[in-house]
Amino acid sequence: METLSLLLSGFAVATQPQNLFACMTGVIAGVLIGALPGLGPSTGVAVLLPLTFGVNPVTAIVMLAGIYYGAMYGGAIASILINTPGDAAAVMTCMDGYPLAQKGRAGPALGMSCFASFIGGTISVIVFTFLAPALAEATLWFGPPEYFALMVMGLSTVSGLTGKSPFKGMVAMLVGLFLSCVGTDLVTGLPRFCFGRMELYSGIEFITVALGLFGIAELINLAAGADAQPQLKREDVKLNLRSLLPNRQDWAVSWPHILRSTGIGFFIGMLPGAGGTIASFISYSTAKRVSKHPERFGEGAIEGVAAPESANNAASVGAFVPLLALGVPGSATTAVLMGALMMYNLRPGPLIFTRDPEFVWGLISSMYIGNVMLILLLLLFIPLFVRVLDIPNHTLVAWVLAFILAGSFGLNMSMFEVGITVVFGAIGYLMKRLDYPAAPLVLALVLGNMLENSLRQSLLLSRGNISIFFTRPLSLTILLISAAAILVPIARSVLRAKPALEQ
Amino acid sequence: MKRANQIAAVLILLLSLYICITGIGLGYLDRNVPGPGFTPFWIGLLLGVFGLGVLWESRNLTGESLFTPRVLKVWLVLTLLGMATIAASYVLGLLISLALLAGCTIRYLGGTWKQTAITTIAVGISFYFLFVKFLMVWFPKGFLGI
Repeated sequence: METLSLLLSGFAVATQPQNLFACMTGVIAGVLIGALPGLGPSTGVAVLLPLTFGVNPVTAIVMLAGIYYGAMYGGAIASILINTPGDAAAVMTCMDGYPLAQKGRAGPALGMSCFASFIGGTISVIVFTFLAPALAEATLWFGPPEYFALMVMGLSTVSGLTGKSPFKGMVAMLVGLFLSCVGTDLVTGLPRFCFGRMELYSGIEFITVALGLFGIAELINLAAGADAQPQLKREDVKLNLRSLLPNRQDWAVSWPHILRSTGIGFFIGMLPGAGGTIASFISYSTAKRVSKHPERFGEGAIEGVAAPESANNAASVGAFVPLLALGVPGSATTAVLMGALMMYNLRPGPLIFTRDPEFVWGLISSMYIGNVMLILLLLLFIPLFVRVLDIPNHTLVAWVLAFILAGSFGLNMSMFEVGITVVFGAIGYLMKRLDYPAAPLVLALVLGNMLENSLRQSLLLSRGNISIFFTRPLSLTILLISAAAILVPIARSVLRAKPALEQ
Repeated sequence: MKRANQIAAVLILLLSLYICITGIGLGYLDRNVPGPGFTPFWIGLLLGVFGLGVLWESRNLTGESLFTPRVLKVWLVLTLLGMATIAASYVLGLLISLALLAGCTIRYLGGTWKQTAITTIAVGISFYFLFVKFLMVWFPKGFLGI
């Protein structure tokens, strides 16, 4: 009952005109960015963060969250129409979405992706409403060792699961942790790794790094033409409200898959490192496995669009659970969102539900509103959203590059930070080519200071005795999971490499 | 790709060595509790361990090159344009430099002269209203006073 009254107070915040406007702006921008091949939600949130300068924190985060789940909706547009996923989470949508478009059923495929996203997103927000506060309450008694263990788990799972090589994921994460050490040591006041530069005394802003790694690196990739292979012209598709509505048979075969995939997506979204991409892969393969007609998958089965789309939207909501309840982001996008929250002096974690209820419940309520807005906007204006696919790469790269540099300057009015963004853009592209994932680096940069603080606080409590982490059952359990998250992918990689070497 | 991965791994090992040495220099322990160099030292050490893992893993890779000539050129040009924008901002001001950056980028990537001119002017005007007027970001001004 208390949750419902808090939710109602959240609706009072979310329905304030400026928040409704921010929510609408966010979801529209998110859909447009998600639809652009190569630009995903993490890039969208990082690039558009400067637009929230000077806005009150609730409005800013409502807009950024709107960009996040809007991009999840938008990813399907390019997958279905040009067989090029807007982001990684929409890869599985290509499998049946594009064949459906080739059969002249692009409208129902786009419509089903909207409805499945809406249902997946809305059910997940309802679960989130009741689960997150309960989880936050259960973790109120966590001390520094438990927090340290939690952050280690977040970092190790993300590093172990993202990218092709667990070693490279770990290296990226450790480089991020190193970058978080740059600046004045909070305990002793000693400058670390500053090279005498005054600009580095306050540390490296994670947003300037994220803008380079997610923004500029993606633009270089786009400019180099690696991801742009349009195969279907937009003119081939006639879209109006009537053509978007799936028929009764489409609904009959898709319902069970939507509900199952929502559950899968929400659960996987809550796990650090997994996120929308893995959720859509698992839900698609599950849908194919349990289907009475698995042979139709890959040939244009409408349920092959419904399953991954409901899963990736459910995962985007699930990702907010560890972010808000534990203060540990589990993905690149939630890491950027967490950085944004900290920029606005909002500290995610169990206490945020009691310390900033207006913000938390306003955000949760805005998710309900955002989902309704998204389905209405998409059904009414999809022909307009589809036009974004016509923007030539050179125009997109030119505008977004200038926007990123302007945004990077606007963070602290410092040209030095613009330089950091450019350098990390160049490094980010190299990382991309060499298969070093950027997400663990950004996540570690966001969590680094908190991780070090909880480590040092724990060791201060135990007077330097490291056993404090292993004598408390919860921190021991979490650390064992973390060790498994590191060792299992490495063992798998080593075993895979052995036969290759023998050959 | 094999050579590039090996070079990257060696650079990681050198970075790990630097972090460990500097970490110890900063003070590993301070009255029996972790000092400012404690965390960097362990980061450096683990970086070295995983860097060796990357080096070991690279033995299986094939010899294809990291960059095609076009990709290398795009990477270098866009990075240099970013750097040039920073340098130009001290003379021309940031707003004009960003507009020129957009113009140069679109032209380099194959835009026509007409598209280049329109983009340069449109970026200049729209960024002025969005960042300077609406978001109150004060861009550094150049000799033209803009």
